[in-house]
Amino acid sequence: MATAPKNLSEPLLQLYRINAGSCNGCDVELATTATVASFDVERIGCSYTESPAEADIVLVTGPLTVRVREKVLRAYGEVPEPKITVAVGVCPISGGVFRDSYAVDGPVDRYLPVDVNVPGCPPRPQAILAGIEEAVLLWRARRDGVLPPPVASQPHPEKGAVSTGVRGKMDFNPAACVGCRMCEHVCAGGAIRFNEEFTGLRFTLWHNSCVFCGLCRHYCPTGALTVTDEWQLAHRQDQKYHLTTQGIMPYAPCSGCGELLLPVAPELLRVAFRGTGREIDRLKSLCTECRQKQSIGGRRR
Amino acid sequence: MNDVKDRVQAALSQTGEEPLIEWRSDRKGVLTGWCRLGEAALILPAAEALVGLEGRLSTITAYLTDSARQRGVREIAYHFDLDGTTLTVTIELPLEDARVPSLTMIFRNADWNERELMELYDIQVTGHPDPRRLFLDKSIEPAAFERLIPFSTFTNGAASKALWNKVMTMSGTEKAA
Repeated sequence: MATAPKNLSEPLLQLYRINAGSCNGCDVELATTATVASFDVERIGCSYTESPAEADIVLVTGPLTVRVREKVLRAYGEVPEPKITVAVGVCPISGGVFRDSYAVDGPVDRYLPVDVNVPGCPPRPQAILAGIEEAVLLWRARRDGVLPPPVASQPHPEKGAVSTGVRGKMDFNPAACVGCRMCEHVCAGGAIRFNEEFTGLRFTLWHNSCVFCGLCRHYCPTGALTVTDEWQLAHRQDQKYHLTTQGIMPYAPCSGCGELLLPVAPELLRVAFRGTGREIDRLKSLCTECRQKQSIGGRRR
Repeated sequence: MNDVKDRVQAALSQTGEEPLIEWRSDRKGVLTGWCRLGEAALILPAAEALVGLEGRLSTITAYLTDSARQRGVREIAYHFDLDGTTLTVTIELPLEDARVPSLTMIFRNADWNERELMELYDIQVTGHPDPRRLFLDKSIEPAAFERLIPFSTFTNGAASKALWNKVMTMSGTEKAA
């Protein structure tokens, strides 16, 4: 973790946590930023406070349940300006798995201005620290009345510090996708959508709703979805709806009749037939009807 | 083992009716008892009698199954623990204007169970010392589990729809990954 340059003339910024109906997963990860030395917020010039009146940066967890809404807004109102708000976890950002519940009134930015989002379910402590670092930059800019610095070009994945294959950004390979939409169906966070467009089938994965459950990867028959080690997903609010992974599976004309169809991915042929051959290659670019005609239609029994 | 059966039978008969208790035993000899009371109000004397056997309340389950609904009733199952033996006492309640006495004064842990079932189902718990909402906000109508099924119909995915509209509008122009 590249720590922010320590400026001794700057006092520690005070962090205030608000639990807006969280399952406590994010709060457990926040606890590591107070107790585990390598993730300690003091490394980036912050410390936790119990008093909203002393706070500079507000960390919100949870989907904002109806039950706690007024209490959350009251505590938030007690934090003096200038304040920077960080939404920790997908729940405050998009509602996460609790979205559309009768007892949930979020996302949090419906009621209070959010500056930084740290998606994840829960986000890794490194990601939370990165989000807080971003918040510190924004806080200083707001205090000094200047424009915030541009977003740091590349995140800095800490090699070796992160176990692989869990709680990373999902990646999508359109070349392997057959458009079965199983991932959309099993997605716990409602983070995947398919849209039929003129030129092809569009896949969209919104990382601000992904809960890292890995069901999409598990159920994808062709391995089009994979978990990466990229944990750094903290971003400013203006990027909230841009944090997507997309892919288009272009339609191709049937080599028999010219009707548009979704071509068969080689990965699917591998799963279904353990490979391909001349006959399969000839049939795979045909629509169902032409395939029937060409494969069995000519032969009389 | 028979000892427990006899003591439970004797205790529950203090409610004024002789309950029919079905006892089951699994391969490891764990004994479970299942019993239905003729009247919902009898759960109070039954609980008092089970306290006499040093029984404890594990939890309370209110539910509304299709088969019960067809019979015009709903059910609550009270799960008691008698030193390792589980006794489930079930009562039937009407679908409308269901009332059941509170056990909170006998078993403190019934407090939250009863408050929860009041907000999830159309059941009134009478004599509860603190019948405030437990999880749901006051602004939400009670009997949420009865009113909100099917869930998707009720919410209509409004929050999801609004968010996804923004996602597709803002990211639709981006180059495909």
